[in-house]
Amino acid sequence: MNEETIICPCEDVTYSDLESVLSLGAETFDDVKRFTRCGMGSCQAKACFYQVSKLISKRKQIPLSKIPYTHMRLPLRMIPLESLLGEDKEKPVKTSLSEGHANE
Amino acid sequence: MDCDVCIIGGGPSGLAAAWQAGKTGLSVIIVDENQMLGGQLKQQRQPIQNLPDIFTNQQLTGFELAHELIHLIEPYDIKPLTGFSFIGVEADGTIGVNNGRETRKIRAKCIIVATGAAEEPILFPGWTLPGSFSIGAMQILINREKIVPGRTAVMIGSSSRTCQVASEMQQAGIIIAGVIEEKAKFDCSPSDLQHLKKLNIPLFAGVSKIRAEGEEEVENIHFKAGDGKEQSINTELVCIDGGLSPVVESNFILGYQLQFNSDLGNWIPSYDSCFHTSAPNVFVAGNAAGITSHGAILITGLIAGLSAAEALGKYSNKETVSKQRKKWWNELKTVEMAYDSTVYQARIQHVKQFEQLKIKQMS
Amino acid sequence: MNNQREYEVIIIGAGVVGNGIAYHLSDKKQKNILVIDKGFPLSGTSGATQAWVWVHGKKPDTYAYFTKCSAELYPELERKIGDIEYARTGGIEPFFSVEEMKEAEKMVQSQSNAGIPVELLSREEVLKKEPYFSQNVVGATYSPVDGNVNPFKLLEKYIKANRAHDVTFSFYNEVTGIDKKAGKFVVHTQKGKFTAEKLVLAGGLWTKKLGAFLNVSVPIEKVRGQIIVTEPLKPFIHHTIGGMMRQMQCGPVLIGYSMEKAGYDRRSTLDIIQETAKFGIQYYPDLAKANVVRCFSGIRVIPEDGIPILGKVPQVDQLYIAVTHSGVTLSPLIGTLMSELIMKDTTSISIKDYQISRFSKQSV
Repeated sequence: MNEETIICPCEDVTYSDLESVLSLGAETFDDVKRFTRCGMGSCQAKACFYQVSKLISKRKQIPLSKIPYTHMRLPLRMIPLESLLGEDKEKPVKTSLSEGHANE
Repeated sequence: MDCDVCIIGGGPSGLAAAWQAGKTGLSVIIVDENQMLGGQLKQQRQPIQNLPDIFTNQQLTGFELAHELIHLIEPYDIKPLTGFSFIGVEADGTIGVNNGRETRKIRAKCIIVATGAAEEPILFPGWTLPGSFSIGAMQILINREKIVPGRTAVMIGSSSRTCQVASEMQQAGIIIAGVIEEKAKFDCSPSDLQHLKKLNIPLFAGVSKIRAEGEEEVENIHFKAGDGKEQSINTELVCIDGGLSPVVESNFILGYQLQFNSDLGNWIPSYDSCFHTSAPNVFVAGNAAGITSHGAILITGLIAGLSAAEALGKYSNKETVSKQRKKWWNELKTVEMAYDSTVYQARIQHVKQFEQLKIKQMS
Repeated sequence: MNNQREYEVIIIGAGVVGNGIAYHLSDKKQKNILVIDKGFPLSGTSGATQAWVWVHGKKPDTYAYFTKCSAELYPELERKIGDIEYARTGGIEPFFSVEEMKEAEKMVQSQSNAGIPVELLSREEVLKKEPYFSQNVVGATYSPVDGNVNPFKLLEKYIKANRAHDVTFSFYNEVTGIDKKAGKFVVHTQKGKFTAEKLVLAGGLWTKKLGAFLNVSVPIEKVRGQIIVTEPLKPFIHHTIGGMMRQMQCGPVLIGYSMEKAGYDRRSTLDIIQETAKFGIQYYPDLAKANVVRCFSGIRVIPEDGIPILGKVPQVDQLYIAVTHSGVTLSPLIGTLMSELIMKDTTSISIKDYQISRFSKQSV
């Protein structure tokens, strides 16, 4: 393990990126994820979750069992946007104006 | 689409569960993202040890077992939906599956999570260079795709899986230039170790400071051997065995809680003796319920399928079901103790912990 | 963390609001500041947002003007704390029917009179600004002052600047109670007690619970928004598209419009995501083939009447509150004004419209 070793191949996150956010005070995989993008790529943390958690565990002296599992979300696989479309293809277009969105 | 039981994953545990549930007349849909059912079995050429009693032919290879299972489910209302991945659920629990072109919805009364296990990498400088593979990927390449991706290879890791794949690679004509292991002792059985020694493969245990180097792809691997000496091996391929982790990616979406257990693969769903998770009508089976041997994977599938059928009212006689479930738990014990007693004991603990928690919550 | 237990100011909440206040206080040389968070920054709403810095169209017009002042502070903030990928892209809020155009015209007139730079764009003008946009667009409202920022970088730079100014942080530390004893606040946490002369409640969604410790009613609602994130794409969406989407500097497009009552549930649901995908494609047809990498949800903090709650809490001496939706947009201004209020008891821009006392039910 050295500074340039890749810990998240999807997003090219290195060990030194991890070190930076750990020194900011992060202690969980999810917190590391939000600051480094580790786990936000196409594999959605499948390759890196345990590897990075083990590094956090070692560096911060936290048992692996205390690093919560990350939230894997819909869609569980990378899919084209149009493949998500439901059946009702003739709906009128909604806009922020019609939804009263401005104050958000 | 409506069905009684939706099984996520069409590998050995999913197929066993489907068979057990389908036999009772339930309608079953198996969702699998591969084009063919069978999961990891499809690329496994070694004979499967300790198959459950229901298999009269005890000399099946992984590949043959896959076909056997696919054949077993044919007579029943079991519909395979291959090439589809489970992607998420609607607010009311309706399941969404997607094949890259469209999203279909499935309304199921029960779900069985049989998503198996995924390989872990080992991180070291250069592990992402072209030429670096997981042993599972290597197995798929040489056994299923019939591709030899390089002429020489160094294996990192020493489990029986690694030894098995190394031997298959050797048969495919790849020279195994070394097997290196970070732990002080090799993980595999003494007979596997002997086999490697007989093939004159250089073996190194207790290694550290592993790094792969090369201009644009793997050209050699360096490490510090157990005796402190720096070693270098020229190689085109590096095969990494970081172990297996249960695939529980659906937990947040399906709402089942996880419990950490380092002997079963770390985070796995909490489940009781019916393999019922903390989410209503969601069961788990196979490697997703704890990394174990093939025989055990199949039995957990049988128990989950039986329990799902029971939950849907398919058995009028409670005693018969309990007896059958107990019988399979005994078989599970035999098979799993022969594989690794730590795994079985951890599983018993895991189930007990959850069952006690449920009792506490109800009182 | 050091062993200090007594502080001059304690801020509960380390999101864009809490950290922003700490930044401005410490930048003005306020000493002995402690920021407490039950998790780590970005674990709440600040880390689950498209991070628009959006001005035009906000209601009432005075609030839109207030928001404009905050957007104008971003370049200076970036100059001081470092690259936060603030992009003043200009904001386009499209519409697809003639009825909506009439609404838009009214809004443009009213907001222009209130000092907000906003204009009506014709269909051709929209397509000139956004060549990939849907040909079905009828027109849009546009303001050059809208934009977006990278919330991860914003928090990272806030934390670094705050640490450099000797602000103390206590992360992964939930507040379990708050008392007032002998004129000082006693904040009980999982890691022990802290005392302070001044207390700022900036806990986002959890400010209601914090207020309850001191019998202060904080009328806020939780509204979930689900967002789709695509794979990185070449830059082709140049503006922030109001109410719907924007493209990040590193390439992914964020699409999200939903407003749901879901409590604290941050799951993504297929039905809403399907709707969201549909709108994304209707706005930019070329997005159809783009891959969705993931979705996430954020829970907006919406005060009952839709505008921020800022300033002093009158019934508890030295207690301050800053809770709002659009925290990213308002972070620079809230930080500036709250620090002025805390240190000099006055603000350079009036916050009388945002006082908590405007809500009639204040229990004792």
